[in-house]
Amino acid sequence: MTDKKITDLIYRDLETDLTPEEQLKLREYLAVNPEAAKLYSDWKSIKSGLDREKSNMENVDLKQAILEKINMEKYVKQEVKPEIKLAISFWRRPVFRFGFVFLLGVFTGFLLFSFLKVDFSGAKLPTEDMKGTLYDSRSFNDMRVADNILYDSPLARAVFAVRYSTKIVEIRIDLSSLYPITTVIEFDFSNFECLNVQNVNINDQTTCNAAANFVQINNVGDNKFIIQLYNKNSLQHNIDFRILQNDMPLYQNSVTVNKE
Amino acid sequence: MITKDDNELVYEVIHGSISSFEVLIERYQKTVFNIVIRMVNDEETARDLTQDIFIRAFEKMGSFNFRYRFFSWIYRITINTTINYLKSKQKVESLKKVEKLNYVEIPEVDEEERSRKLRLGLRNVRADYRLLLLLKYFFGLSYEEMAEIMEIPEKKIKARLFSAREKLREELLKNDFFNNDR
Repeated sequence: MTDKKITDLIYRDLETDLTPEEQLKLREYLAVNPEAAKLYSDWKSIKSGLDREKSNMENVDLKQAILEKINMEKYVKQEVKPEIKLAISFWRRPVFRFGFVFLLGVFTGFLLFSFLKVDFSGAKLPTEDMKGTLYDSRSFNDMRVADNILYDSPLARAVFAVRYSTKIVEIRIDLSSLYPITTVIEFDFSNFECLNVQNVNINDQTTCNAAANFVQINNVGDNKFIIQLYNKNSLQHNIDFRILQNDMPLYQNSVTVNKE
Repeated sequence: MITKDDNELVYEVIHGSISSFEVLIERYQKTVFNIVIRMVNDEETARDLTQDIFIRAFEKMGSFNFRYRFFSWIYRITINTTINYLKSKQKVESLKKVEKLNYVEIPEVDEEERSRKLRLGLRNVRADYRLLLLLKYFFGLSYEEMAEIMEIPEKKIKARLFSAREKLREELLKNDFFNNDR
């Protein structure tokens, strides 16, 4: 057995921490090893001395002295924490307050975009005022009437309904002919721009050409068109209408828009 | 009368009950004082240090962790305060070149003499060893409790205590502590 092991056994024996087997082993070892026996007796003396000391523990009463010092110097500094955390009102919590303001901002933004249609893009497009320019649009009815032109002959019939708003001129054309006729709508390109020529109802023998200063329809049979012009300066201008057959004029007229 | 446990008393102290602190002082002042006096070997200093320890405990009571036991907490404060005191004292003493204490008096009563020799032996071992010996043999703490107080692993406590015992025996041998046994 090593010295360390036997020393450990001695210490543990003094602490009454040995099993009966270990105790027996220790006793046997001590009987044949005088050095270990001396260590054992020395530690028994130390232990009894310490036990005696323990029983002679000095009594002391420092309570008053401590309390006086605390009362004088420290007790006032003691911070008393509340036992139960007080519930902070909902609105007093910054996270809710700022969160609410943020959500309100988002909601307002949503409203602006979806209902008020705020335009942040800047300049308006020239086609901005093309409100209700389709064939079946009711806005055509809201436009001011420039004129209604009618050409009627036994073999051909043409109706031109011309209406206008500040920027847009809309011409609805209803053509009907048994032989080919050419309808030309002429305008000054510095005042007008052709925005749209819509074939509402045409057959395969009819063609339609648009240029900078005129729109030409080569018509056979019954056809319907819508022509939209953009009045560049919103001023009063004339639009000329001509009907030709084999380059020979059949009919000619002129309509004034933006009369006011 | 129902005896409240330490942690209950600590809770009450934190919430402003000075009378609960009085109970804690009554419970631990004797132990704390006896540790300190055996470490510093001066009654007046031990009284002052004991007071400081309780005042410090009172100040830090708010930060007490209820997962731990109060006695290990107050012992830890005791140990730290005492060790700090001894360190500062050591600096002063090294300047004065105070010689190591030697027992020269021969008392008339055997028991008294043995007791003095034992105290002297304890005084001459290193402060940390002395503390371990006191906690183990004087206050009967387990290795686990000592580890909790000293905040070091139980294995290290055992190893250090082993060395502490050797040192104490050496010191006692020097002072003829065992002579009376033979």
